[in-house]
Amino acid sequence: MSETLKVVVDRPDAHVAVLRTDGYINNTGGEEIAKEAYALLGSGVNRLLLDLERTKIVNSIGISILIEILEKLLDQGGRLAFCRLTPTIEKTFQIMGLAQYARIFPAPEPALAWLRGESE
Amino acid sequence: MANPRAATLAAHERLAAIDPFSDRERLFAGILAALLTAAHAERGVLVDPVQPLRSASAGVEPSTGVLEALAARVAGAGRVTDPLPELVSVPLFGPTEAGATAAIPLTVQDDALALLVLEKPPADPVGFASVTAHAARLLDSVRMADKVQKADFELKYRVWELQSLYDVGLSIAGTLDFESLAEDILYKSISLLNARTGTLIVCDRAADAPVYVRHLGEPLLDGESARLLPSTVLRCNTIAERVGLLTHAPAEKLLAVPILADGRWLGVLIVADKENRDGSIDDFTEADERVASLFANQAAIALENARLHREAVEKEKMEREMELAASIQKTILPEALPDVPGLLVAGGNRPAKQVGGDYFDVYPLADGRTALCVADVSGKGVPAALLVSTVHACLHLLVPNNASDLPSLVARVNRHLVRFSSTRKFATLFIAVFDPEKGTFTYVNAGHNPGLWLSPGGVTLLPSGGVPVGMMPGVTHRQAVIQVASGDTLLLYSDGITEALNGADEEFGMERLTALAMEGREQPPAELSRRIFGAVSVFTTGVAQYDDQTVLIARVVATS
Repeated sequence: MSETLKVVVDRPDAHVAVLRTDGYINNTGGEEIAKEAYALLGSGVNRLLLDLERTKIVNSIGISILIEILEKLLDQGGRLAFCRLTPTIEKTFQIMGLAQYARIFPAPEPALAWLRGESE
Repeated sequence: MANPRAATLAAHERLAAIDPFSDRERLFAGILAALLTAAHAERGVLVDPVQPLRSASAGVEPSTGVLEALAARVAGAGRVTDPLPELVSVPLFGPTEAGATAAIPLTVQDDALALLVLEKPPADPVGFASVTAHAARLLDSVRMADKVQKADFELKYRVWELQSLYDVGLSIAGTLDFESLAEDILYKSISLLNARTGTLIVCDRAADAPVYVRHLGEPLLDGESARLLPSTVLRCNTIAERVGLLTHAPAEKLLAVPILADGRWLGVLIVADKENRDGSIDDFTEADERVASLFANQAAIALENARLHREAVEKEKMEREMELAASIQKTILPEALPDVPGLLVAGGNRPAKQVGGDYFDVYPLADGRTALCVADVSGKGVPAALLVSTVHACLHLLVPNNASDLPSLVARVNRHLVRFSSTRKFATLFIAVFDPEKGTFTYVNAGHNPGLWLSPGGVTLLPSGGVPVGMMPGVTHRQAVIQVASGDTLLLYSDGITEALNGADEEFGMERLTALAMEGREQPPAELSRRIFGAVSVFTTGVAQYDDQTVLIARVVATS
């Protein structure tokens, strides 16, 4: 894993986007995610899944950026889900309050179903 | 809206409808719209002093320079109501009469939270003042909420920090996988210190070789160079503070903490470039030093645990191996020696703790003769026990039908061992066949200690007639024959007897053995055997037995 984050965006359908991260979610990594997320929001996509399978480390600045993204999404009636978190990152998100307004899933499929409103 | 009172009421209603927790841009846009309603104005700007570029505007498009200039006026509290200079007002509203524009601060207890710039003063100053006061309170509540949110974030961050240290502590107790634990420690320390990169280097106990080197990002130091670092914390917020090879580390600011166990340097944890939300690099602080040192201490504990575990596993493995070897050896050594024609035989084996590979046996042959052997294989533990097992199997198969040609029998054993045993594995072997008809012992000594022939004339050594079996292919062994009489004794033994050491590092030796043998020449073989073991025991009192000890005695009681 590199400290430089890469984001790959996948659009399984018109209303949902999956952002797959690879690397460290710090200030620059967080900004990279925010850039993609805000571009998607601008084009009307407000249901996002962050797949962190290839991310093993996140710092508090990265978390504050994720919170900003979450607030913007909620403002616009959107949803944010995370999947495939390491146990350490999942615990961190729980402690830092991210899990209060975003949902955490073990795998992409149930996360996408929740984002599409197919499950609660 | 011509009625100023109605406009004021409408503005209050609009402010009341604003969600204070919406994002800052929407908040400012909503407040500006309400203020324009109250002022009967079309054009205006609500300057956000915190994020000037995200200020709200209506009917005008302020440049970055204008917004920053206006934000600077908010910072200079007290002068915000001064007429706007043309430098600012003209680009916003075009040429206007002096004093036509209005700059109204939104304040709470003299604290300016925003600056409203209007193209003209409000028509109803009194009503408008109530609206600006309402807007200022709204901004103040948002500011308070921000403060609470920030404090909440800080609190959660501290919980995260403590939880991380607690988790590492739990992991240390719960896992012995040092590599994954070390990676966890590196990532947690980088993460909690908001560092961009980090390196963890851990050396073995002698600190002469790195056993674990892991980086996140570009390596800050290589494993070999780490040993040259001092055993102190290095907080390097400037290049001048760096020492040695850290001078060239690819980072702006560094924090290096040593990993110490019992005061010994075992490695270093280095983190670099503490991030700030605005993209700049912050200095590492004393608090950061404390956090990094806590993680370094955890690494030291984990390392020590891993070492102790490795040693315990090795010890357990060795003990299991010894038990297995002992059980193999026990199954192949004779439980009792048989009664054979013309001989009284006795003997025994005392295995060492680190099981070696002695073997002895007595084979009654169909024609009335008796074969006797003592063997000692090289090495210890399971490999030695397996080789003993092979020698035992060979002799059991070959002796009954091949005892008349001992050189050929030994050659076949040699061929088998050379072919099927690993290199450097061999066995010394003394094999003898007693013929009661002829009154002879025919023997081959393959690299074994000389046998002792005890007779009224004294002790005769029966020396080796060839190299140990299994050592090399194609070797031959010399056979010899001794004519014995009733009362003569053949004494075979392993080097565990003659090379047994006492506390002064002296060997029991041949002289003591032959003296004992001669003294007990007329005692029953079982008694002589006990005396020999007893004498060796007394001689080696207080010293651990290093090798197997074997004695086999055959007393001639009758010949034809």
